[in-house]
Amino acid sequence: MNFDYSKRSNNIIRVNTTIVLIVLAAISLIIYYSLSILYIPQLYLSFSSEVKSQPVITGAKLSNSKVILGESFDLTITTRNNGDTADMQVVSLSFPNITSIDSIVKISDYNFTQKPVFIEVGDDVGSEYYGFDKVIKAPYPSIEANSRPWHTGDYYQISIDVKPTSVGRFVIFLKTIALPHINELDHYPRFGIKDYQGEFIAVSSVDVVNK
Amino acid sequence: MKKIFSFRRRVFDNNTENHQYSKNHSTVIEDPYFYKRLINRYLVGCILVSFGILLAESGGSWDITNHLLNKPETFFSPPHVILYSGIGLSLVGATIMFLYWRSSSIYISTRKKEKNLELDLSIKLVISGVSMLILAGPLDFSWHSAFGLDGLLSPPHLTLTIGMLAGSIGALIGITSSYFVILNNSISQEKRQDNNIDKFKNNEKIPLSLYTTLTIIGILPIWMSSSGLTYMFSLPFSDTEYYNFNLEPTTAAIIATLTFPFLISFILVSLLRLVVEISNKKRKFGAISLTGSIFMIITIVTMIIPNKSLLSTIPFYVLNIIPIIIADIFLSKLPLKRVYIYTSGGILGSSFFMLYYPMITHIYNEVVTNQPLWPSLTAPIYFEMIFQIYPLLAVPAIGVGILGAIVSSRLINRKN
Repeated sequence: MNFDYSKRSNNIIRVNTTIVLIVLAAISLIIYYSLSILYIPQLYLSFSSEVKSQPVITGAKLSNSKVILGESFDLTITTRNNGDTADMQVVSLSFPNITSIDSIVKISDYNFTQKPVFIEVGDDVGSEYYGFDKVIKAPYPSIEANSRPWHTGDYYQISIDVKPTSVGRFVIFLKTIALPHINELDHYPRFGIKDYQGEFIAVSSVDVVNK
Repeated sequence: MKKIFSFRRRVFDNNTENHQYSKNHSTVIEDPYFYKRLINRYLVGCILVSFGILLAESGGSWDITNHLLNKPETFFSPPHVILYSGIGLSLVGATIMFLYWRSSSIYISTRKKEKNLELDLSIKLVISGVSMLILAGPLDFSWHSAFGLDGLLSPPHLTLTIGMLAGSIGALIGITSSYFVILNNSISQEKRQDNNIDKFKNNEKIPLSLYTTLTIIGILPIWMSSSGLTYMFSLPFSDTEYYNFNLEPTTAAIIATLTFPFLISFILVSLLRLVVEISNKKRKFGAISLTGSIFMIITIVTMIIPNKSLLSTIPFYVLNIIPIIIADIFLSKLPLKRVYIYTSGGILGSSFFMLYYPMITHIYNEVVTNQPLWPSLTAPIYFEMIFQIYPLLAVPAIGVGILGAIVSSRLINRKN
């Protein structure tokens, strides 16, 4: 009888332990799923605010406003992010007067985290601030420099050396865009004329004259 | 040290046949200490291979995150150095394995009394896996030279990942079979000496917790490399200038939904079954939790911390330890019945969407929201998506998790 009693008692303890563990596991799982799928996502979305980057071109310094054909001039662009850290900020310098960058434009200096890229006629470029989600073909060449990420208050500079090949007004379009692009603060300039990409630009120009 | 000396003396005292082993292999010492030493060194090789591959995978994972963040890359960037060190370590391990496998094979074939060492598959897998890792280097260089920037899925990357998977499976087989070889050899020694198997248990010098730890080290790279292989076919990171290896987004999402829950369940249930086999049917709580924790730590260190905008989501990710601990309790504390094993599989499978955060966001974003997924938008998009998509994924995930547990149980039962 003692043996039976002991065996029965052990069985009861074992069954009870199993039930307790299953109940505890069920409660823990309910807590886990509630937190993971409902509570934390809602909490995160309600507390997280939109990233408000604010790119600006703080300086566009030309070495000359007028050059003689055959001579070159320098342009230094300084850009800053006055807002929140952007995942990426791009500075674009485009040249609507020329069909190829070849030997006309050279990068003399830059401090961006990424190496600037040359965009030739026909290359794919983003448009309307959608980046590569809305791609079009480039009708004229440009240079794009970017840093990823671009922290609040950071300055980046690029200097180019330009040697025009024809007389007239040599035009350079300038703009900077922070990505992800959420609102109008994420691009600079914020108004004015638009380029072929449907994005606002600032214009810098040099008169090229004969001797 | 004392234990080692006592073991050595005991074996030599009891050994009746004691031949000499020369470098030209003409004669062989027939003593179990020599044999055990060979197996132990072989085991060291297996551990180095597993650890090396784990290191390489962690480096690779960090490298992918850096690519997503577009951080400037050099040949000696920290993730690359970790990746190369891992590959180097696994090469050293494979060499050790090969050398000691060769010595023990000569030893066994000379004795002829004991055969069927069962290390062949392990060494074959490790050598082919490590060869693929080494081959992937020049292949990657050629691929870059021909096609410029490459995507996640490319022939060199596929070679690398398959090599990691093969090598890690081989190393795990080596670790577990080494244990059984030592165990069987020791039992047969005791039998020969005084026909008393129980005495073996008293003289047992193999620390079981060490073998449990080694099994965890062995199984983690398998989990990581099979996850990496799944990522390759499901993440939309393979569209480059010359080719587009990205699968159609829905197909990629289906692959992820069917594979990730299966992997979590299969790996963790298999781990427990292996540990049970090693520990003479004793089940101990902790192995599954520890393995899950290491997997999570690797994810936090290589995927979450490098992206500063995800730092606030670490507490969310850490919650994933709950289903893992519950599965561990079910498998180690409750009776080992099918219903509990399958329930554990289901629980583990159901956590896949949270456990594979943040990378999984890229897979389902293509199907659900299709927004540009910038690093700072990963968490908001994931948390928006989880409401919409998780209720649809939960049932298949639980089903596939149960399937993982079934396959694991059948595979290990059949092996026995």
